Amino acid sequence: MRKKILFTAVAAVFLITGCSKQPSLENAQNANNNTMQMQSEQNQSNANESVNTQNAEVQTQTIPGAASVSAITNNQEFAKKVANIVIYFNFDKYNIRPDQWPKVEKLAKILKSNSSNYTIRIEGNCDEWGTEEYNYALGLKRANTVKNALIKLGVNPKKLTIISYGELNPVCTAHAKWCWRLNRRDNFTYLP
Amino acid sequence: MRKIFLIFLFLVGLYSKELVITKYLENMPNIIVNYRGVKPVEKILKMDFTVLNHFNVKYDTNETNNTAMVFDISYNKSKKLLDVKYLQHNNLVLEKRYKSTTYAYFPFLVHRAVYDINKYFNMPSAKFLIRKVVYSILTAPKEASIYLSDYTLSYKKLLITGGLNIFPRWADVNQTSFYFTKYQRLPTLYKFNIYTGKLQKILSSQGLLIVSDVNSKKGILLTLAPKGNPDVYWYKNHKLIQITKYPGIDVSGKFWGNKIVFISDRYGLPYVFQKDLKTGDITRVLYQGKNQVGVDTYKNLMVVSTRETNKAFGDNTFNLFLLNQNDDSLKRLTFGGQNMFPNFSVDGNSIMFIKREHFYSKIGIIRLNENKIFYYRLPKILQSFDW
Repeated sequence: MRKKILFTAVAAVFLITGCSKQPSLENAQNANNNTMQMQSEQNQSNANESVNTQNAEVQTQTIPGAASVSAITNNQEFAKKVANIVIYFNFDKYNIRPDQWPKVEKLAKILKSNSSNYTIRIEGNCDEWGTEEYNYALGLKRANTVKNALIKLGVNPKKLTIISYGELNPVCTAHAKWCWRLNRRDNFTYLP
Repeated sequence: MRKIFLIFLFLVGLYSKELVITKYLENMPNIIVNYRGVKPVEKILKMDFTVLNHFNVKYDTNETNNTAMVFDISYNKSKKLLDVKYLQHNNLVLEKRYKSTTYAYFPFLVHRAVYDINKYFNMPSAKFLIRKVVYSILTAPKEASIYLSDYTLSYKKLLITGGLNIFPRWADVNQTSFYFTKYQRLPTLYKFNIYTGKLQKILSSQGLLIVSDVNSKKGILLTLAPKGNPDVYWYKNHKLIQITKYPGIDVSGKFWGNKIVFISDRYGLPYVFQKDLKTGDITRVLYQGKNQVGVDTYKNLMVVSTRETNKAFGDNTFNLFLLNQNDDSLKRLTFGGQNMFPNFSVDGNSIMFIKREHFYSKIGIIRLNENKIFYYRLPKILQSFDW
């Protein structure tokens, strides 16, 4: 028994000495300052800074007619319809969930109904789990999956572009399950 | 009983690297540092000696019986001057003066002074002290700016702002320029010179564009997705060579001798793989953990961030492991929390990483030879960094 106790104690001592000692150091925040200057790095930005008011002569033009206004309104409505569709994904996945498929079909219908020249940017997003490159790739795959689905549903591929925002465009910043679920999504942005 | 205990200790001493290190630490040079000047400078000075971990330092003491090495360090705030005097038996042996144009720059003066003291005693390289850090931080949704800092993140200078500016990575060993991705209509790769302010457009690509690794001789490894599939590309002499062609996710390419390692989900979850540049064979590198999302390399060493728990939500544990190509050894570096984004220092002696614990972030610096980890507070979550 004594041997066991002694052996355990020795092992514990060894573990403590073997493990890293981890003192916590408070960061010296006092020194932070947005406007501070560096030795030589700073000189370039100061030297390049100047002001010239010669071009600041305002010309005024009134927008004629109502046609262009209604076109803008139509585009705005279309952009709003597209932006209202959000497709959600499961944790660490980029395939379309069955419950999200009707939204993809609805989006395809909206896009096919507008024959004008435009681009839809499909934006893949992720939750806060993972800041590495992998998260950006996951966001992109989410965008690409929906792009391929839209093409299969008859949308012109030339009207679609994809981008990944990784975890950089959260709609919800609470640290909770329901919030992470809202951030794993594809958004759609109309680009005239 | 005592014999068994002694034999056990002897065997441990024979085979344990940690005990060898402990002996080394016990024999650290003793120095006395007498400092005069403002408090923030003193704080950085003490932090440097703590993280350096090469000296037993006593501050502001008259006790000289055990040591002959005394440093008188003073900072003049109005003149922005840091003076270092090395005294041996009350004789001035060495005198150095460090000057900056602004007060805010003082962390770099202190780091340089401590670096020079370390070098003067021929201690192991401590280049991490004098390296500049570039980091990107999210300021609002779809808004991320790039800052320049010292390793303590005390100094801060805004370099790139407006829109999404992410994944900065130093372009050269001397840290004159860095690459970063700017989200415009397409993600675009730029090179920015911190001395001249020159902004050079390199290339743009649909979907995703990230610089993963830079090697002055070999070129740049990028993650690109021109057709929607993220793959690793090698950019050399203005030519792009596609390294991986898997239809899933391949990211984070790093040079590793005559191989390129990368993260791929070709087995369903992200793991580290390697591609042999001579044979073209792709093999899995490490079987530790539930998945592996972060990787960095330095010569024969590789550090990997692995998820060790399997929860879709909640506190997953990500730990760092060090793999040595020479002897195939694997060493656990962290013990709990979410330890991610490992990044080797330029001399390979240290690893900087981000630790998240209970929704707070810290910067961690692992001093590999000294077998220690130091943490300090991170006010906001960094998008990415390079040092």
